[in-house]
Amino acid sequence: MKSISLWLFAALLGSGLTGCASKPVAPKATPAVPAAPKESSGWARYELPTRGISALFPTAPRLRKHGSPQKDAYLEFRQLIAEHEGMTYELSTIEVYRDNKLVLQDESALGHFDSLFKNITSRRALTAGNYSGVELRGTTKQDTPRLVRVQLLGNTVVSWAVDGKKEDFDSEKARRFIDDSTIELPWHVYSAPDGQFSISVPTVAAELPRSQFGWGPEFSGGAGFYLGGSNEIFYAAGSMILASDDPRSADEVADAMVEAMGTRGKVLYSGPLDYEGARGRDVLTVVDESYFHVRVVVTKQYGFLLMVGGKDRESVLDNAQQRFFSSLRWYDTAM
Amino acid sequence: MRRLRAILGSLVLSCVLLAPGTSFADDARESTLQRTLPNGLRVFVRRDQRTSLVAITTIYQVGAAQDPDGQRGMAKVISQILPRLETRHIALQDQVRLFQAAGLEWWEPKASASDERTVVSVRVPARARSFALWLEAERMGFMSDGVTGEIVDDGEQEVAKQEEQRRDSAGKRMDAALELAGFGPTSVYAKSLKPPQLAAIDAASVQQRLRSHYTPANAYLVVVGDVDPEATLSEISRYYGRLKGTPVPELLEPPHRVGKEAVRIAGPADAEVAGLAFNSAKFLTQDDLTLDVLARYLGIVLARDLVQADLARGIYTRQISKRLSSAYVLGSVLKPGKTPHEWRALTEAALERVQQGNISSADFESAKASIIASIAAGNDGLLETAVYIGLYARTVNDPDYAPRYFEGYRKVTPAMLSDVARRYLRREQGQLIVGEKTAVSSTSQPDEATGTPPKLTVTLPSQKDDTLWYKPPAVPSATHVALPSIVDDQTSTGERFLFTRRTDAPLVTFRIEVPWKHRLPAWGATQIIRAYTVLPAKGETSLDVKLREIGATLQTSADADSYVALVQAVPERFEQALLLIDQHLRTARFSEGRLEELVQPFREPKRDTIERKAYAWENALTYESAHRYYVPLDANKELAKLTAAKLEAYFRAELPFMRLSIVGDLETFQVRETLERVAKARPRPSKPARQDLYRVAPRPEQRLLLVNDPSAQEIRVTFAFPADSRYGADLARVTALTSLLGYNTVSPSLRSRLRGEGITGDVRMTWMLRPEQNEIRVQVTLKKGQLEAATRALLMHIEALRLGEITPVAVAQARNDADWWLAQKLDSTDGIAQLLQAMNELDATPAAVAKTWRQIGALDKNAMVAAAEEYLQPDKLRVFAYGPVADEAKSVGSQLQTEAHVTNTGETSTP
Repeated sequence: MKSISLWLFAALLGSGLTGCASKPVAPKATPAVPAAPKESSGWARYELPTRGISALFPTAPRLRKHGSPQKDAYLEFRQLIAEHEGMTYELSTIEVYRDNKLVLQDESALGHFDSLFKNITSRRALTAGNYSGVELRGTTKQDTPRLVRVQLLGNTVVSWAVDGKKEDFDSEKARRFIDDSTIELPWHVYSAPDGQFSISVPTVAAELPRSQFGWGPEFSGGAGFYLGGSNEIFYAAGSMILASDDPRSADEVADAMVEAMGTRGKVLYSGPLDYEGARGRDVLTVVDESYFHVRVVVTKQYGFLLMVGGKDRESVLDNAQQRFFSSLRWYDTAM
Repeated sequence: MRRLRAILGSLVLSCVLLAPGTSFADDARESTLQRTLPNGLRVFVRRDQRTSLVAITTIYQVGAAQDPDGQRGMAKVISQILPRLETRHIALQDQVRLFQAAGLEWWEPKASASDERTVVSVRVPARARSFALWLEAERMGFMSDGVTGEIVDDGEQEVAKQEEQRRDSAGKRMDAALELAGFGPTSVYAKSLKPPQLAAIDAASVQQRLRSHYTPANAYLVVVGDVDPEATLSEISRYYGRLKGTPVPELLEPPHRVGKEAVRIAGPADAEVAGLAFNSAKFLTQDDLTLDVLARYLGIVLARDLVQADLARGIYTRQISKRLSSAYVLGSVLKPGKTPHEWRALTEAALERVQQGNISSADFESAKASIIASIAAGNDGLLETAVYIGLYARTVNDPDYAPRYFEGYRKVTPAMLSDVARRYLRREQGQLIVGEKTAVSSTSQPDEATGTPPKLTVTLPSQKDDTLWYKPPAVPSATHVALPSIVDDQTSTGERFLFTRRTDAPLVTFRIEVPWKHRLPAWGATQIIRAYTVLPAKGETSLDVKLREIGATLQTSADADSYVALVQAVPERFEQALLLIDQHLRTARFSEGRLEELVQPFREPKRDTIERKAYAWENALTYESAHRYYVPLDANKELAKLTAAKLEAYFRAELPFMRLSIVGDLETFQVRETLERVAKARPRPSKPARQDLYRVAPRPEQRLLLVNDPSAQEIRVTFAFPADSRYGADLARVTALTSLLGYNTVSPSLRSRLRGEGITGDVRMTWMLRPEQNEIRVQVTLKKGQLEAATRALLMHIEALRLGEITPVAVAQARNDADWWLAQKLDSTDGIAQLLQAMNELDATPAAVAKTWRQIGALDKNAMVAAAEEYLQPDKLRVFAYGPVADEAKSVGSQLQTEAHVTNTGETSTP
């Protein structure tokens, strides 16, 4: 087997990728204000299908979905929209694709929403579940009141917006719509045909182009996904084909892979692992103040490398990340 | 392509030659295991090891009869869009990649909606059973996620198109009118016969409908195939068990109401049509089966009576069976000047004869054989079996009802026919439908839906506990398909026959093949001979009609290799059908009077595309004129000398080479004795074979053969490597290597390399298996000036393969191609017969085929690299190109280090 290169850290850290979402934002969440209005008839929770994002609407919304080709990218919009008693309620997502991959947003995307206003009377930076957002209140070019909340989630910009004529605008209802919104990050199955494996990642995580992610040539398949948030969480999974005449045991191969990691960063912990009949290692490393929870799994044909990276130790060791590690499925279909 | 398929067919056959009469299919089927999950899903699992496939069929007990008021067409729209709906955990594009990762060919489910149900089916390799169940459960649980306005619009357009076809077709209008009359205006089945109300169906209503009706509580899940039933039930319970839903109310059929005595509708423009409709017995009752036989019987008898009386061209009769009620219909297109009342009088007279017990026993037996053959053909494959299991379970609460179903037809007697005719087809019960001769092409009724469509109601519950879907089930490596045993024998008259017994096949399927052993008398002669054998001369009954009268079906084909007749019949009619076609082929007269008409299509060979032109030129330049693959550049010269007598003599001379492939539930001795009896019954001994068989070698090969046609818009190039692709030799590696050329390897795929050179035309990989031309071929369509670039891309690609840049998944896919192909073939009696015929056609012995088959199973990366080194050698590459190629002759010759041989199309007669 070829010795593992420094692909891991060179690619992820050297590319400056983790810095692209590090513009200053308000460090703490601002508490949501007024309490939700009393339950009135007609209010019900509606979810954007497949995206795990929902809100309370006073009446049944319509679902819209359409694509918008741009010069070098493709924007996909999904929207739930409802009109009720002179007010319009919108829950929208925008995803950006380039070369058939979801691409990373930076926080400047939040600034685009300023253009929806003529005057902004209030701006509050928000965080929800470590993800950056902003709440804007003001008036539109038509002098109608508008309240908007914008949240950046991986590749997706999510917005909740309410507006209506002055005489119709009910602040209490608008707040209820904005404050009772929920996000339950859905996960979906990602597959790497060349690597013969599949894994689950958050649907809103941006899949990075292979060139940007920089897998080494020894990797036959794999991808990286940036979820972001204040912890700058990302996921990566790749596989390398093992030579059929490699005399080493699976443990020896796994150790060699862990050793290669140690040449760039500091291995804080490395322990043996049995995963569905294969041997492997669970590893925690730190490089340049970023933490990497790495799992190595060695089968007869492949060496798999899974990784969750982030700015702090707790977030990469969080139980929620087990969902990622335990979803690895490989398909040994060839001899 | 036929050649390619034939090769694949015989490529994968085994020669595990057992004693004659030994059955491979004994105990192939077991009884069905059934269970109802707590969420209401009815599950049926049956092990059926006829092949290494599994059919997974979901039957939602909701169809057009339950369409919501004001939203007729809902079930059809849903069936159109259902296969394309993405779910929250797996988007459609992710599905394709997931299949590739798992080493599986992507499959798309088939969905259809009838009055009573919506069926969603997939047929998958047995090893992918868990994976497929996981996917189908995801579909059932989350398909409403993917409903959008655009998708619903697409579905509605398709339904609208179907409706338009129904509206504009006089025949379909007549069918609808007859069904409406038979079921009655108040029947639940009347709904789907009216125009759909698509304006009232939108994304919201479709989502609501999916969530309320297309749920486990309202579905049957049927799994049939090479499965472990208990393990499968356990998986189903795991994947489907947590999905929720509530049952929907059962359909109720109001009492039948007879409409007006006679209804007039818009018929075809050039003739009147007349029909009679009756309300009749429910699906799967004994009366229903008897009425099926009666429909076939009247089809034979009335057709004769009506033609003799010059009243009509024929008759359409059918029992349309549904669970709650059925319709029995008869209809004809009338001859000019004849009235519906004359037709009715004659039809009712025939009915009266049946009611009085005046039944022709020969016609009765033919009718019975015919309906059994028809039902058996519809039950043949795993998918069909799965649907019928669901139907039986739903209708008679017995998923294993099939033997009793067929028994029900067998026990029908003439007396039973009289009885059902008396009870269901009384004169006063019938309703006459008259399609008046008219030019009006539309009888659409006004759409009843009015008002604003309902707004979208999205009520997707949050799926908190969906960890099940994060990880697809494992897909084990491919295991070879279990193969049938093959009897390879010959009759005392020297005819080779291959026979495979299949005890669960209700039909005997046989293919008669007459190979062209002698030099063909002319271009197109094969098709002209076929036409002579099928189309009757004036005053004669056509062969397919003769066979239909004994319940058998016929299909014929002919190409440059052979003449083939495919026949399917119930076992008791096998000998009769074989005798009939054998005698027909030996006594068919080729009249000179019809020759001109039959020759005409070949006077102007279709050479309108670059592919056809290139094919003609390549064969003309590669083979000598005496060769069967030779394509004359001037066909008319040969055709001018052709006579019917010459063709007849030619065909007679080929008949001694006839070979048979037979599949069915027969003992080997029965097959042999039948063949001997048929041989003895021949009118006269066949003439001895002539001696001028093909012994012509192809012309010496030139490595770079270019046909320059400056006027052509494109270039068609064939890259060919000689390869030893004979059975028992190296066919396994050659076929896999050819497949491998089409897949991604570690290096870019060939298509990617070509795209990199700006070549976006069609690319095809095939291999040729002919005694004269064993080759791996890559054919590409190019623009002018791209020949050199394409040659460079190909040379780079084969170099990468020779260096071993091949991923395991590419090897697995190449190897799995053959497995998958064979598995599908073994799913039907006709498929097995095709495999046997391919062996016959290629003179392959079971031993040689088995050797090749074993080699396929042993293919790995090392074998593929070795094959690439052996066969993909640049200095053995042969290139043929047609089009504007003159400018590149020198540079391509330099690439290949050979001299280009250029023919200008102007120098000889243009094909």
